[in-house]
Amino acid sequence: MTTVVDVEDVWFGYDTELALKNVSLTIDEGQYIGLIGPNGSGKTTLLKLMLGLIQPDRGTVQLFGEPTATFSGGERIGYVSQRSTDTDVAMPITVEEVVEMGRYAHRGRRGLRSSDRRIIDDALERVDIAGLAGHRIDRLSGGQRQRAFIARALASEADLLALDEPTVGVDASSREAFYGLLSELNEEGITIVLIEHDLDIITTHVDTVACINQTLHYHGESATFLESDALTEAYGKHHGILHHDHP
Amino acid sequence: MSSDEPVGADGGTVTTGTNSDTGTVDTDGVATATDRRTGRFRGRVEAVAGGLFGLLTAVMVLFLLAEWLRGSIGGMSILYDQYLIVGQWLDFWFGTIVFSFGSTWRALAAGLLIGFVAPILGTFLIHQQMALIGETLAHTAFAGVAAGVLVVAFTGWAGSLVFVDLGSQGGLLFVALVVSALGALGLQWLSQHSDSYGDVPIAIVLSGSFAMGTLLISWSRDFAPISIDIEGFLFGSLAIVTTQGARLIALISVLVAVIVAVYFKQFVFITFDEEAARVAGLPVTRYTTLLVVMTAVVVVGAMQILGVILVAAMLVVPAAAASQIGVSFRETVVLAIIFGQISAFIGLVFSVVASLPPGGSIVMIAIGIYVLAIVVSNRSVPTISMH
Repeated sequence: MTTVVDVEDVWFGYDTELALKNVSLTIDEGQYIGLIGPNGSGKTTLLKLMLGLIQPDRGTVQLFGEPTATFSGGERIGYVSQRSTDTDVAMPITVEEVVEMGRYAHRGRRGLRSSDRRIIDDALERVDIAGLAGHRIDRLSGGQRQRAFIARALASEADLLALDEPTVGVDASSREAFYGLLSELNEEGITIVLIEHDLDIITTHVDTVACINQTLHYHGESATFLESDALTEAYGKHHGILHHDHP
Repeated sequence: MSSDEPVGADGGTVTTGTNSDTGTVDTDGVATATDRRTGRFRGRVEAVAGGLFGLLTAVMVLFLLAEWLRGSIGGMSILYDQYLIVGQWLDFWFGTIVFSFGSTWRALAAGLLIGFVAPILGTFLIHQQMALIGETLAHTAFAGVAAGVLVVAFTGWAGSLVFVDLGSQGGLLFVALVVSALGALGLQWLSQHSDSYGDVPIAIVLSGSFAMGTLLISWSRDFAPISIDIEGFLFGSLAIVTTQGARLIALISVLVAVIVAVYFKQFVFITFDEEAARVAGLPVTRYTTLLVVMTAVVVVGAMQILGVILVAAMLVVPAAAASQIGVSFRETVVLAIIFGQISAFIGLVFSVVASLPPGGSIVMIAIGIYVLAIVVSNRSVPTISMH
C-alpha cells in the first residue's frame, strides 16, 4: 500500500509557543483518518504541515513521497479550509465558478476545454448540487456550500481530501448527509484527512483516529479509540463536553 | 442551521425544515429550466453591454493613437480630424463649445480608460479585503511626483526615455510610477513581515509617504526649475491630463487588460480561496504582488484626473456596486467596468460643462450608482441579509 502522507518527528512552534512536538504518523492510500484534539491542540497546524502550507521547524513531511516544500502535484489534493465555512465572505461567485477552480491546476494559463466542462458537470452531479450551479455560493446553506467545495476537490480529481472542521454551522441532518457522502467517496478510493471536534462523527465514520494535543496521544483504529486512555490524556479529566446529545 | 437560508433552484428561499434530511434542495424539473433561461438572458445582456463598452474603450484608444501618430502617418491625421468633426456635431446638439477640442477628447479617453481598468483591479482588491490599498498607493505616488521634481532638478532630465519623449510632466509621472510600484512592493513586504493586522502597515505607509511628499515639495520649491500644480494632483484636474499623461494611461490600460486576461483564473482563485490556491500549487505571493503593482501603476494614471485623495474611489466604488448585483464573478467584473465607465463619462461631461473638478463629479456619480445598486439588489433578492 502506498503512503500518501508521511510525517516524521515533526516539531513546530509559533514564535515562543510550541504547537507540536515529536509528531510522527503516516497516512496510507484509501485511509479515512480523523484528527481530534481540544481547541488549540495543533490539529490545524498539523494539517497545514501535511499540505505544505507551513514548513516544520524540525522533522520532515512528505506528500506522495515528495517533501512538501518541493511538492508539485497540487492538483492531487482537495483542500477545504476553515475559511470555506466562514459565512462573512460575500464574494459574488457562482458554484460553477468555484468548482471550475478544481481544473485550474491542470490547465495553468490555458483555457478550460470541453473535457474539463464534463468533469465539472459530473462533479456537481456527484454531490447533488447540479441545479445550483448558477447560484452565488454565499447564498447557499452551509451544507450546500460544503458540497460545492467537495465538488471542487472531485473536479481536480484529487487523491487526497483534506477538510478542516467542514461542518461548523451546518445543521445536524445535513451534517449526517455530508459525512455519508464523504464515506462513499472514501469507499471509491479517495484518502481523507478530517479535522472534526464531534466525537460521534469521529467514531462512526472514520477508520483511523489521531488524537493530538501538542503531541500524538493516540493513533490507531477508531473502534478502539474510546476504550483507550488517549481522551483523558489529551483533554484532561473533564472531557464530557465533547459528547453531543442528539435529539 | 446556520443563519443563512438555503437557496432553492428557482432562486427563492426554501424553508429548511422540509428538506433537512439531505441538506440540499430539490433541483430538477421546471425550476431548473427557468433558471437556465434567466441565466442565458443575463449572459446575453452582459455580452451585449460588455461589447458596447469594450467598443467605446477601443474607440478611445484609437483616438489617443491617432493623436500620437498623426504627425508621422497620414491616415491617422484624417482619423483624428473625424473625431473633432463628431465633436462639432456634439457641440451643435448640446449647445456647448467643448467637444470640438482635442483636449476634451483626450480627457474623455483618459477617463474612460481609467473607468475600464481601475474597476477590474478593484473587483479583485475589495474581495481580498484590500480596499484601502489604492488610497495608500496614491499617497505613495504623490511622494513619487515630489521625488520626480527632485530628479528633474538635480539631473536636468527632461523626461526622454530611450525613444519616447515624455515631456517634463511625463517625466514626473514616470518617476511617480516607479516610486508607487516600489511603494507597493514595500507594502507587500511589510504586511508579510510585521506582526500587526493587515491594515496597520497600510495606515503607516499611507501617512508616511504623504509626509515624505509634503517635505520634498516644500524643500524643492526653492531650487526646482519646474513648478507643479499641487492642487491639480490633490483634487484632480483636466488641465494636468497632458498628451503624455493620456498616452501613459493608454499604455497602462492595455498592459493591465492583457495581464488580467491572461491570469484571470489565477486571480479569481487567490481572491476567493488563498489557502486552497496555495495547496493547488499556485505561486500566490507572486500573483498578489503582480496585482498590487498593477494597482500602483493604474493609480498613477488615474491620479491625474481624480486626484490623490479621490483615486481610491474608482477602484472601490464601481466594484462594490457591481458586487451587489453580480451573480458570477465574471459578470461582476463586467458590471464594474460598465459602472466605472458610466461614472467617468457622465462625471467628465458634467465637469466640463459646469467647470467643476472632474474627480469630485466622477466619484459622486459612482456613489450614486452604488446606492442605486443597493436598492435594486435588495428589491430583487429579498432573502439576502445585509452584513
